[in-house]
Amino acid sequence: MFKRDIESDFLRFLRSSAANVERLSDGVRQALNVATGIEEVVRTALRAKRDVVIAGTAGSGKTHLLRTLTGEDLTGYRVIPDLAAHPQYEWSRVFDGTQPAIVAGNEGAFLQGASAGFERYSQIVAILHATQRGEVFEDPSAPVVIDVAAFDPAGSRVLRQMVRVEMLANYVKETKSDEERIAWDMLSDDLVVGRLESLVDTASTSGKGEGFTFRQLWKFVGELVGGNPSKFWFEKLHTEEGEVASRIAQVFFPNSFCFPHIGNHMWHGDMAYLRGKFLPAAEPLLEMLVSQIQDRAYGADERNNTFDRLRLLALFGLKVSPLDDHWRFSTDLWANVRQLQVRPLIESLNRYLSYGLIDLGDELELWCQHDSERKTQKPKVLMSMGRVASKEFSIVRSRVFNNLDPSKTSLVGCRYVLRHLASAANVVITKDLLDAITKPRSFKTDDRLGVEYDWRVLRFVMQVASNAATPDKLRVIEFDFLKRSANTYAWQISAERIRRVAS
Amino acid sequence: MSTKLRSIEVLRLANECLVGQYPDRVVPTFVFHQFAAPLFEPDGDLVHLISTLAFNPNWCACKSRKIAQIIPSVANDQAALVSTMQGLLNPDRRLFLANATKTATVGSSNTFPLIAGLIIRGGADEGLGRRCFRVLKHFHPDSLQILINLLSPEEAFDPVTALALTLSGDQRRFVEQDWCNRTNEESTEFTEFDKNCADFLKNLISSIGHAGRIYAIRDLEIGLQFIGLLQMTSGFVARCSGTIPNIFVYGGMPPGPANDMRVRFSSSSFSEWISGIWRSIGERLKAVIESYPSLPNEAPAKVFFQQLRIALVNQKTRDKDLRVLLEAVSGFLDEQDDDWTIFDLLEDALNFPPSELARRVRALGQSIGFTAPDRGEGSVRLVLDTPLLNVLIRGAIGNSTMNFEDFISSVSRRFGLVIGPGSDDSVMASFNGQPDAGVYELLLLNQDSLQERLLRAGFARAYSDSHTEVLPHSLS
Repeated sequence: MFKRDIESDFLRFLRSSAANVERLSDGVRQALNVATGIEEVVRTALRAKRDVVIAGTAGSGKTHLLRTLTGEDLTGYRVIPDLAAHPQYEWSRVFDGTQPAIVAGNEGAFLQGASAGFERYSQIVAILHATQRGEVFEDPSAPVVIDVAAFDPAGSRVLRQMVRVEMLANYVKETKSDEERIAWDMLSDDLVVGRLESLVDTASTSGKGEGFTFRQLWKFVGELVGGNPSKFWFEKLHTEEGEVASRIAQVFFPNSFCFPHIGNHMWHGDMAYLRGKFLPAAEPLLEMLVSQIQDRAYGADERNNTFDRLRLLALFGLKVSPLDDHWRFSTDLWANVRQLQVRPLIESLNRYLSYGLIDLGDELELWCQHDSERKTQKPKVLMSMGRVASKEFSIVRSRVFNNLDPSKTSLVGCRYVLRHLASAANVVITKDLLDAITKPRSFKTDDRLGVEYDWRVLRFVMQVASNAATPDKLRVIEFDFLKRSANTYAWQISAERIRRVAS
Repeated sequence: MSTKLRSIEVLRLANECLVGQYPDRVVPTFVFHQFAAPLFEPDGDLVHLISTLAFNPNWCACKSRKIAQIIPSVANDQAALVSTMQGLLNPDRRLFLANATKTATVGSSNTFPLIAGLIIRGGADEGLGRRCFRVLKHFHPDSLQILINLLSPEEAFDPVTALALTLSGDQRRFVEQDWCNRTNEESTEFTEFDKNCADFLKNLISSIGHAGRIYAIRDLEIGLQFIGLLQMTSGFVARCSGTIPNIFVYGGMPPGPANDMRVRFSSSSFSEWISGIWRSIGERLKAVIESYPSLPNEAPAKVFFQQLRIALVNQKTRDKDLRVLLEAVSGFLDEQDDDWTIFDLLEDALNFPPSELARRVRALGQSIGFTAPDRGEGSVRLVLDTPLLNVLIRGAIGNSTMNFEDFISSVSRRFGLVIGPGSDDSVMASFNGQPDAGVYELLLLNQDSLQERLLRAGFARAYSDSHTEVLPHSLS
């Protein structure tokens, strides 16, 4: 039974513009608890009596994680729920070795401790940075660091657990109309909820590709279950105002999907044909909408509106939906990066840096751009200080925890980093960077936005070149921007002479 | 030659860092060469030969047996060599042919200063490089030895340096052995601002052997032009008054929309800044001239004229320049009653109104993306283009990381370049009485724009809702 005292707390949480776990009652928090695997990492560290640091941005779930731990878990531990709120004069004593500590806090607070000269905090910051770069750190005497912000709830498919929370189901059952309840029940089907998860996952990579926090996802769930009562959840998912819905709107265009075999049947309300095409979970809503389509008293506008709802229902409720192919056959660069494929990324970087004028293959050219003046156009001649094969790089995902046996869990973070293995040079790969490098690079200095992405890439190239440049081979590329062409030359350099070789 | 061209002789009595009539000829490469020149003994013929390879390898092969043995002799390969050398030595196109027929050799121009053997005294920098050298030598003489190491590598680890070394040979032979003693300057008083400039340059100089050395040299080129410009402007005011003038710098993507409040604010701030510097030049000029002796019992205008003549002679002004300048000043004084001011003299006799100072600053800053717009009639303001941002970060924070707000405050405190409130909003005091939108909100908005740019370019990393860390090269 849905309890009234919990209900008001729960509703406040769902409707709040900044849903805040700190203000939740224990009852609601327990009810909303979603297993992520991080809890087990913390318990493993606690059993080993290690110092534990839980870092993360606001809304990433630090407080919630701490509160999932029982008194038994924390026996003998010094617990600091928020380092920033802890008196600074006591910071030096937090990790004094007299008692193991578990400390949660914004990353900024740990950096502040490091700046103040506390050695332990500097070490924590170093581990945190390694975690974000996807590097393994091992020192049993140092704290186990958990970067909750790196956990990607959207990519880790926890949304299905969230929409299926019992309290939510009870809430819908007791407070929503039959139509809304029937629509919500569709989410009990794995295929339907899987499509919703894929959509949210794709949206999480739009913009700067930094993923969503638990808080944002809960707000999204609140919007789906609440909001405009005349709309179904699949109509609200890209029209509400929250961060998740806004980013879905950037990647989800319902009108772009075709229904070549069932479009006519939907328009004419051919229920006999449609029934076998839809999942059983979607059939009740299908019947309801089809009956409206069949209603001859319906005006043209109403019929069009209902048809639009049917199309949306079909996207999520069909046994075989065009949404599935949309993701399965997506071959864009971001999809490649998410599959940790280095080669397409290197090819794109090469193509971008050479203004798309020449195909340079899948070995990263180490371009040296050393002009210092702001001219109207960029230099026509670039020199490459060497080439590095794709296999010398890897795309790694950031880690969620560090300094604990990584075999304990398969948790991975939401950030992607391109790393040169020999030099450990790395560059964070975000969706906006990929959007920039898949467009043509401008040879005009006035195109300033591109200049900033150029710098992110060229800084990485410089770091790689510092390690991988070879003194005996020089490759030169000469661009003709007007003719859209390029020539390459290669030189063999020795102490006695320079000799042209095949490029 | 007009008075306008010669007036720099008088103006430099007040501000020795002031550039002359053609500031657009002062570019980072030239400043770098003049900055590094005291440390090296160039082989002019060899530099000339190597530079000419970027235009006419055949001529070089005829002139030098050694070069002929190094470079290819086939015509096609020589054409490829020309492109290669253009890319290597001439990325900024500051290497010119000596005459209009373009068949001869290079004239007085500078290559990219890849190695010590290419450093020459030449290329107009109007004394900015020399000034930077003096400031650095005074505060961080050790850095000059690091610079020597950077420019004279014993071994190449990248092909660009390797090619330069093959052509130029051992670099240690170009190092001026007694540079420390031979570059002793007359005693000069340096200010806190000068120390900040020296610290900045010190951070840009590192003894890198690997391929990163090329980028270090490029960054130092930009940094020198930046510091040179500041020495000419805010540094001069700091020397005169002991305080660093604040100027609002537009933090968004340059040049910024003309109707943006921040752009308008930065333009008005630029005008005020220029006016302040101009006033300081006038006051300083008056004080310097009046410090010279004169004959007793003369009319004030005559006294001033005598003092000016002595000051110019003392500065070793060439006779023909002296004659033209004195004629102009004399003409001006004859036309005035006794109520003229030094500012009238600056504007009327020396053709140096505030707009002339603004023009010079704009031209100097434009080549490194420090002033905008690039051309046209738009209001001039200070901006930070991306390459300059990179250098600003390296110079300001060195190899450590820094909280973004602290970085903003540091740049403001050390150079008077105000981007936002930073971690210490005391800068607000200097902008009281400015436009309606609320100065604090304006500064905050500007600071946020810069933060976004740093994140996009990979110069900073956002750690939480309110914490951004500015990163040096090695950590990005």
